[in-house]
Amino acid sequence: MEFLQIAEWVRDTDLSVSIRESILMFPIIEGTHLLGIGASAGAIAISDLRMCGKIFRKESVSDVFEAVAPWMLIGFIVMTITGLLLMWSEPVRCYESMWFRYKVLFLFLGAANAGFYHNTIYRRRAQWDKDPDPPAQVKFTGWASIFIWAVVIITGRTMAYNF
Amino acid sequence: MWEASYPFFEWHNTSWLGTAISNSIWLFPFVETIHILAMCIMFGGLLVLNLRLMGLGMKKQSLPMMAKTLMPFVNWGLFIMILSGYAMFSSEALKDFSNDGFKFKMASLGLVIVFQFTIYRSLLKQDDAQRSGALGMIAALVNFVLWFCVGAGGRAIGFV
Repeated sequence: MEFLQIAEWVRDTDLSVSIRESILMFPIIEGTHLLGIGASAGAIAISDLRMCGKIFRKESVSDVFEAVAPWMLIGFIVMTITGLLLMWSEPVRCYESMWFRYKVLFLFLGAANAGFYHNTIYRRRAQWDKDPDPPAQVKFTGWASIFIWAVVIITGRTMAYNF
Repeated sequence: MWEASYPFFEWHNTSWLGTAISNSIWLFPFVETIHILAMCIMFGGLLVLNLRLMGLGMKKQSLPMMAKTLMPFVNWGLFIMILSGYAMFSSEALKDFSNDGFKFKMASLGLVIVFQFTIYRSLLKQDDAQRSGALGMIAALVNFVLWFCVGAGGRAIGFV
């Protein structure tokens, strides 16, 4: 079954129709998604900036990470739920949007970047955790994360416009 | 009194900046995206500071030290949001004049800016020993709620 067929099937479901046609639902879901960017991307930015050695250099990298991690998690959950609902309400439009496709690609890149970091050098953090200037791989992960999430936000906002 | 400010809105509607943005397909989304990215920086900083005021988060650092690091980010973020927000306003000034979402947003924004540069700022200068825990908690919550109102009001502009 092709993606387009799936998208069209989703578009015809009751849930999809009700969000699309409701006066309040879409604004509330989208508004939560937008404000959630502040919490989730904001938390990520703080941790990333420490990984790049730019702020809180006297704190260990894991201390900064652990301070904001709950908010990254809450933010991630809120963004995923609202994002899925938004996608469910306009599936065909999302499928056909080049911006959306880039957004999904970069979401996966963001997950891969974080996953790789946490499963490799982060496990050996006892060696470098307290360094004001973390190792090159850590810095790269930090900058990559900032870049990837900026692209996610930019593509996400741009897909709302009909270019 | 609000009605008396109409000329201010009317002037912006035909301003160079306002017409440049409303005549362009991409300028408004571009400015809006900058607005959102600046919001992330500002909210990220405020998130960590507010958590610390509530006694959560990075407890090893003193709040004054954390504020010294983070307030430049918060203030630059706010500055860029005000500039980009002003640009967007210029392109739709007359619409905003009669828009309840806009009025609510501006009222909340005014309140939170005053709050953040007075009471909030002085609390950030106090060490844990000097600062009342309850006051810190209330200040953090007020800050969160007010910024939430600004954001929600902003979003409401497109829907009321």
